[in-house]
Amino acid sequence: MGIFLAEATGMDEFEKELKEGFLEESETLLEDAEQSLLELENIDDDHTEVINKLFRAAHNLKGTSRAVGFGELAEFTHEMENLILKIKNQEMAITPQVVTVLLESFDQIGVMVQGLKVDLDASFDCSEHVSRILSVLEGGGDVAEADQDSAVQSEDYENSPIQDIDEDLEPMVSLDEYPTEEDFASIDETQSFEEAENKDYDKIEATNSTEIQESSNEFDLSNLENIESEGFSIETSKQMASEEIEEDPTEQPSPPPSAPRPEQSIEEAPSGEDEEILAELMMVRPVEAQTESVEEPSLITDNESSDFLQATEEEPKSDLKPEPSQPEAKPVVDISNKNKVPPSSGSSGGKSSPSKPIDETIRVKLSRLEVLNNFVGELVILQSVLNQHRTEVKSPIMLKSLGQLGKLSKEIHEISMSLRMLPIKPTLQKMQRIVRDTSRTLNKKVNLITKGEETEVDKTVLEHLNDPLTHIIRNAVDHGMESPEERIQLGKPEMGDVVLSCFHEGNNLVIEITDDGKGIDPEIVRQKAIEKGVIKPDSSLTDDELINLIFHPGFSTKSEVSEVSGRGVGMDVVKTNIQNLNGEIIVQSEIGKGSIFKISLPLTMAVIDGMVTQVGVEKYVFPLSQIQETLKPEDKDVTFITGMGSILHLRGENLPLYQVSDVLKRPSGNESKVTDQIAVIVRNGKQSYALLVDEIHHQQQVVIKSLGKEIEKQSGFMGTSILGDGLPAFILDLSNLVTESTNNIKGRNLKGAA
Amino acid sequence: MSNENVTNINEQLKNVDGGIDQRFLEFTLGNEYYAVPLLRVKEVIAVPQTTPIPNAPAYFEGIMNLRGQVISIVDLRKKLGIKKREDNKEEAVIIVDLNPVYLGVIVDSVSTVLALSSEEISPPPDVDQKVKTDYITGVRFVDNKMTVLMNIAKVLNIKDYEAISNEKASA
Repeated sequence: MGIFLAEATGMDEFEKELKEGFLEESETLLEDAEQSLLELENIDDDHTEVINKLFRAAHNLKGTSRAVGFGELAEFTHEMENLILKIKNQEMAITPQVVTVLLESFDQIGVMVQGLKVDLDASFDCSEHVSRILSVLEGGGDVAEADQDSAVQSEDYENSPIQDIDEDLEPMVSLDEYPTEEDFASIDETQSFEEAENKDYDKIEATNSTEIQESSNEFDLSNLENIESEGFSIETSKQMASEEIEEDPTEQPSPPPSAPRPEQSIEEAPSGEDEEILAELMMVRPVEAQTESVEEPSLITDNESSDFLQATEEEPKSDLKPEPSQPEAKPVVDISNKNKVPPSSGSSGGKSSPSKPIDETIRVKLSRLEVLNNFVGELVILQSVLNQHRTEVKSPIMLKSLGQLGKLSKEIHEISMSLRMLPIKPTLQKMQRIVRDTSRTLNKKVNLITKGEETEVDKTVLEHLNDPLTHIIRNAVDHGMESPEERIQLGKPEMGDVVLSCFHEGNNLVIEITDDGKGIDPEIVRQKAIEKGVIKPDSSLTDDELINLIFHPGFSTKSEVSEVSGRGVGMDVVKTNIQNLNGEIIVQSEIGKGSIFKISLPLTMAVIDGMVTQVGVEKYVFPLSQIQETLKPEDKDVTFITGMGSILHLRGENLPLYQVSDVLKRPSGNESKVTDQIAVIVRNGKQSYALLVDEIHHQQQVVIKSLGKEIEKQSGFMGTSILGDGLPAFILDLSNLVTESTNNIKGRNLKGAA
Repeated sequence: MSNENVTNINEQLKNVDGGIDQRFLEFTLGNEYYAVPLLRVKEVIAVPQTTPIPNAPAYFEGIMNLRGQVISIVDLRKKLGIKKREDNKEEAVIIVDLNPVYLGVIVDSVSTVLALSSEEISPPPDVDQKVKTDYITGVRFVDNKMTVLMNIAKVLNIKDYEAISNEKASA
């Protein structure tokens, strides 16, 4: 049997390893790809680099998935690659729709990868996605309507003769490769210009030039949504156009593909082309406006871009000329790009981390790290045992070595813990996506600003952060943000800001989600809370307390159900999620100004601050985060009521009082009276109650070890830890310890209670 | 069980050569002989100090610290209703790998490693069972000694995990 096994697995194992390796890698690729896509939308400068990156990612995925035998995945990626190739070759504009389709496609790959991870033979139906890709590839047009007229127009152009032009276009690709910024002024350019021109003409003849598509790219990239707001007179721009155009490019470096064209094409276009076109070209240049906006040193590319958009958009719309106008539309846009490039590239460099010194990395299985951490944890415990017995050591050398050993093991411990820490960046990137999708669905204009992307978080924490963050962010966009019209009326910038910042504060990771929306109205919360029976009509709560009621489990915002949030997953779930991570969440809000959600989490799941208590003969660890206070109850503080059990009176509040030993059904300490014991007051989202323990030993950081499978269903424990005496102890999960079943303990009659 | 014995057995475990799939570790519960596939056995240790598991079935002896790993210890005698030997110095814990669960099993003594050929193993006798005995994979009868080959995963089958939570729920 052994032999048989070996043989059977021999081949499979190898293949399996290959496949699994691919799946792991592909996740990174997908993350990168998503980020690139979002960049495409967000930054309206040069996209060549980004597109190339995307293309490589898709190509990689395709090649490797085929190589390791994931046929379906390869097929699908192939379709996607086609689409990206079109964009790369500038045969297709980067409309928001295209980006959406690409995002969805990458999502689909993600789904497939996840599926394959579970079952290497899994099979998927991607026909829907494929057809969407195809429709974009073929039609382009139908995809675009949604957003803006401009988009639509550009698509029209795309639709038609593009295909014919393909061959001519090829040289264009070379343009893509032009180095972006510096070479701009160099001679190469002129060549490229010439090429470009020639091409341009071809295209113009065809009436739908790639240029147009390009220009449309630009539109889309830049934020289309602002367009309506700003009007732009085309005539003025017309006048200014030509000179401006000529000057601008020289001043600033430009993105590669588009760069060459602007001035040259304009100047030369006339010579090489019909007069008509020329004329039109000259007419329609909103350059003026652009240059103006450019001159403002601001980094707010969005606004600028929207201006451009407008300008460019308007041209076609406005009575002007239908097609021919587009060719110049392009130059205009190009210029604007150029102008913008310097500022925005600076800022984007910060944001999108294109080139950082690469630290070499290796992949290690998490389970191996856990084994290491286990041993290191043990080492640290042994160390503390040794330290406790230091006094017994006489030899000075031994003492010295002990000291050094202590330092070493402490360092090793720190390092081994840090191995589990990952930057929070990928999680924040996912939020970009959430904001994008959500705001789009709701027709709101929201900009997500992330700070502290490099903040490191324990992997486990990171994994559990996704859901609550997604929820809060969605809520911020959905409930928090006003519609653009409302915002304008209120005198706020049309584009709402959601700021997601992460930083370390002491031993905690803090994540703040700030929005500048309408805030939470405590009065509305109060009414709703009374309605739902969460609070009594006469309860006097401060505004802050009221606002924090949104985390109360009984407080569901179902009346505000919308497509995006409010699917019954309340903020209480968010709070529970955070508490499961031993963290806490609070919210502050000011009507009209916005809200701040502040999440603090322990840096690592592997270690928590615990209070070591004695219950009978056993020790139990209480997570400090859920304890409000401890006190020594007096006789007068405790009442026993049949049917209710023991009650602790604490500053006017009546809390149910439990013996930990009863709850756990363990023998209690020797005849301990309540008054000899210590009450631990527990407060969490769900409940407040008091627990009696015999003794509190000390507080310490404990390394959490998860419960084994055989006992993991035990509620009431969040794990175990090995204490200084080398014995394992259970860490109580105070939010699940006192459940309905334990609540009904008949004899909650505590000794010493009257 | 003395430390020497434990070391001995562990030496034996290491030195088993070749197809250990037909080898079993034999131990006693009370005065009865049982055996588990050697493949499953990680090591044998002396009975450690344990921390009781609240709300768990009685045969869950507790959790122990095995070089930094926390492992549950079960008492098969309590599970199977076998009377433990009095005043027993040979008690030991067999650490078994029931993938993905590591478990310690308390036994009255660890006797030896058996290498059995298929012929030596008979199917479980067809007793009129009141108790579930599907954990018995076979028996071996030699020299008036009956050894029961058991599947520990089945003795402590998944239902037992549920038993814990059920017990709690019904509390």
